[in-house]
Amino acid sequence: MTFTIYELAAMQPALLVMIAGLLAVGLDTFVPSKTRIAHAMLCGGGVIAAMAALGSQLYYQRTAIHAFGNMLVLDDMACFLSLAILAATGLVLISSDADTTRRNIGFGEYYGLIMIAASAMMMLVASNDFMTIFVNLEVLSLALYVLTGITRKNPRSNEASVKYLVSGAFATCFFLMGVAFLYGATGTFALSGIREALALGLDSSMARVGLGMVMVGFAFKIGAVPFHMWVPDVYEGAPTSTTAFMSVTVKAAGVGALIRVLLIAAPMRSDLWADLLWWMAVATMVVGNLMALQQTSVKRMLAFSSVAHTGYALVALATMRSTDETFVPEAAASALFYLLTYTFMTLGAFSFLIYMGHELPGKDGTSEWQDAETLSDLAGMADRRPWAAAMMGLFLLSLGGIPPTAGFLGKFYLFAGAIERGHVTIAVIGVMASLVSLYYYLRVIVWMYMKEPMIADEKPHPSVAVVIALAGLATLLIGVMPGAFIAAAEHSIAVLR
Amino acid sequence: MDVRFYLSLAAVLFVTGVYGILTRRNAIGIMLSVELMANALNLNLVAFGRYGAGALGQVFAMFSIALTVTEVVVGLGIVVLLYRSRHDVMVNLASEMKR
Amino acid sequence: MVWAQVAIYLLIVTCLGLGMSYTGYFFLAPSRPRALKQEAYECGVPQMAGSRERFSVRFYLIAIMFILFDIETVFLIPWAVLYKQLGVPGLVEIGIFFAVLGFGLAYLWRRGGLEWD
Repeated sequence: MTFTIYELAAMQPALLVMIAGLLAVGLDTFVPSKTRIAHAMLCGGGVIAAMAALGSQLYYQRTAIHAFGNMLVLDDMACFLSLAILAATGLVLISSDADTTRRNIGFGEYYGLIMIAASAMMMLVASNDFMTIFVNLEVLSLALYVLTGITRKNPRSNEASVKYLVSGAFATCFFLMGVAFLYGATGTFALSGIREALALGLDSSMARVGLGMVMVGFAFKIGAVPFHMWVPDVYEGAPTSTTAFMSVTVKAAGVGALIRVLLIAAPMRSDLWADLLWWMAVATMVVGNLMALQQTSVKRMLAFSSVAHTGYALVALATMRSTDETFVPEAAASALFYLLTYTFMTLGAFSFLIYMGHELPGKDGTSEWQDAETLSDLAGMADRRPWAAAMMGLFLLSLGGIPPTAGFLGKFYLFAGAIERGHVTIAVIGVMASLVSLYYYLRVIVWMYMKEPMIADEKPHPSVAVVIALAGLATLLIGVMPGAFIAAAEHSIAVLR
Repeated sequence: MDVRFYLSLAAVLFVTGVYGILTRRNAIGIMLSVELMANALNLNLVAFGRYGAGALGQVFAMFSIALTVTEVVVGLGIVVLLYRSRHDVMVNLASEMKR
Repeated sequence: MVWAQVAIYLLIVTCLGLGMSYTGYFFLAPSRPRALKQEAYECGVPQMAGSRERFSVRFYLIAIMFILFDIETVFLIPWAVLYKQLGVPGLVEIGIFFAVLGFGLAYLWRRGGLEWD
């Protein structure tokens, strides 16, 4: 099987990111004088070039590119999610400047791994075949295992890395077993081929088991209950910029790939997966929010809140099959839009924790960096850092779903759509869950605005301020004029069919 | 030979691996269990490919072998780091973070 | 009932074999144990140390790298088998694969992953 150069255009944006990442690793290793500027320009250039390639695909090319025997397809949904992933990657690259200098992590490895993970995610959302889905899922997971444990001397980071790896490997095996069963039942790995086989009226238990195991694999990767046990430990132990990166991009990529699998491979068998997703979404919203209530560490609270937000996004997928048994694939658009809003608010909230980092005296005279983690670390920051605290307040209100922020519109669009399709129960549960979530989001704001400061030596990092400002701007922008973004999300799903 | 023999063997291997992951506390033991699961599904892929579905199953199995090995390699690297920081590879002792 | 005959035959053969070996072991063979005889057989040379000591972590690292580069060649075999059909495009693809793999090796080398100390 040969391919033409034209087909390479389907993976051109991801390739640009990958090459920039590899060059960053090479630069760090083989060029003696290591400058941060060179890395930043290289990786930033890669991200911008990939964005430009995606933009030209969206505005000039317009038709989807099917490449490599329809294994990869660069359509509007892939472009939409790739742009969200690239935006998050760009912001994380800026904010990880703080983490790498403070903790003395090699720039080349850190930036290179982030770029490789981003490129794998971009190819994952463009994957139209279980073979490419598997390879990209694995490449991004491998990069993230290493990123989690990249602060090598830190026992918490090591532990987080081991836990992530063990649960991730477990999930991969489940996913692959499901793929093997689907292959046994249908004789193909291509999503469209599986759809054709299922459309012929194939109804073997093997296909059901296969689809179920594939969904378990995805649920592990995006951290949906009951497969969320690794999330809090991993998110807490990883360097905060890594946490920010994986909490937003893995969900965007994983949910994107899940949407593609459900909509292309098994749309007419929604009776097989809709109920499963319904229960998973409800459990994820409830458990995520209830666990987040009990946390005193803000980082851990945000980890559980990201579990809860996975649940909100899953509501859209679970209600694609409306109560009068019709299948409404357009519903997935609200999940895409929600993922976009979630990207900026979560990234901003985690970046604020990096911004407020301070130095802890270590055992042997050295000092160790500690990002703001507990509520007391943030107490009274509104007086000393009014702008940053205001931005953090904006992110938290957006996460809680207060207008006029992006988070409100995301949730509104999601739950209104669910009610429209007759799923009132899940919408009510979702609204109740986000009311509960307001308690712990507002608690942070109360500590920031109404308590006396408890630490005096926080050392804000200027580049993180840029990230906070950009993320805040995006959160407000999507909140005030969501029309273009919602239209883009709806168009992405409409093209998918 | 029937494809069911291969599927049964793969099921036994897979369940052994799952049991190992759930009960083992030694990180190396967990890696071994992951490999068992991976081999079970490779066996499934190859068996399905051989009995009907075509050569694609073998191709997928090759990718799966390469990538699961990479995963185990990264895992062992991380375990070595864990050993250096706490001189033990028991995962249940690794609890720096609160429950 | 051919299987019953086979079963009886197997039973007799097993009893006969076990009986002969145990008769030889308990009644016929001379038994003069010495310390040297109790040791594990180490190709005829005296043992240097017990076999249950811990290995240095460096062996792990070398073994890990070996496995990694060893397994990646799994993609070489199909290419080599279909070398003629794949032609120049196949050569280019495997070249890219090898370039990335070689980059990994160079990185490892440069970072001191191959140094013993």
